[in-house]
Amino acid sequence: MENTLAKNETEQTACETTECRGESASRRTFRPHADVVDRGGEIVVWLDVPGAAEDRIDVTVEADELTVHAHVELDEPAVEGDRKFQRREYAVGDYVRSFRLGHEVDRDRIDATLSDGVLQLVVPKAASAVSKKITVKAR
Amino acid sequence: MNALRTFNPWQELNDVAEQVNRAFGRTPFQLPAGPAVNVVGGEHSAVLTAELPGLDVEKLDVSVERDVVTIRGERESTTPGEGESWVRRERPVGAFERVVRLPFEVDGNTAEAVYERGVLTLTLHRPEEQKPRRVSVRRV
Repeated sequence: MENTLAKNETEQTACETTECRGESASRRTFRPHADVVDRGGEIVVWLDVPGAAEDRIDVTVEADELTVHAHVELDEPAVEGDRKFQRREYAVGDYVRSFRLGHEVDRDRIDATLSDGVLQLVVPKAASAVSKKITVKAR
Repeated sequence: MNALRTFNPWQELNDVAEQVNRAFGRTPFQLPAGPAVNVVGGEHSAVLTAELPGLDVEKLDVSVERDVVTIRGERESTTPGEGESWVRRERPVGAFERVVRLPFEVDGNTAEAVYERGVLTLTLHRPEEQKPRRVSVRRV
């Protein structure tokens, strides 16, 4: 069955990324679904990261590449005794995704908020990257 | 028309549904497939989890009937305002429905649903009166 909310697994494991916080190398990582809107002066990115905790999200910017790594605690129901997985349709793991923004951005003013498993990033473009409207005067 | 064609009422219904859908320009009759679910449980209880980021809890509906759990909801789509434009649009939106059958009947009175960090967790129990009872055998 095809699920609209199916996760895309990435090739890399969590420990191949820049930061490895002692998690086992076998942990899976996923490429979260993203929406991106250009508001002129800023770029807004929404990422579906269900299960991620707000204090374990790393956002880094290098040149015009924005990278998000959302760590997810493995908080699955206990499998013990007669309790076992009766269905296992999705796996739990970290979310990692990079975007090339195509603009210089003001990395000091990036605003990140997490709400109900959705991470919103408001990325202001650097002053030099915002196109200015030039009025043409007629003589 | 093949005279030997077996009459299949379900096929007839499907054909009608398909015609209706075509008339209204919809893709084949069904809501988008619902979320993937994990179920961990035993004979008497189970914990069902589903990843449903960005939902309005008011629009999330969970119902239990006998051994069937139904999760319905809707994620609203947003429209960029004036001077804004989509650069990328991947997050699924719209209404969904997911039906999951469990290996036991669920007690609706003790069922619990919690939505946290975009993950829905249902704790489901088998009704007390349906749990098997041990009968001690008296020797006479």
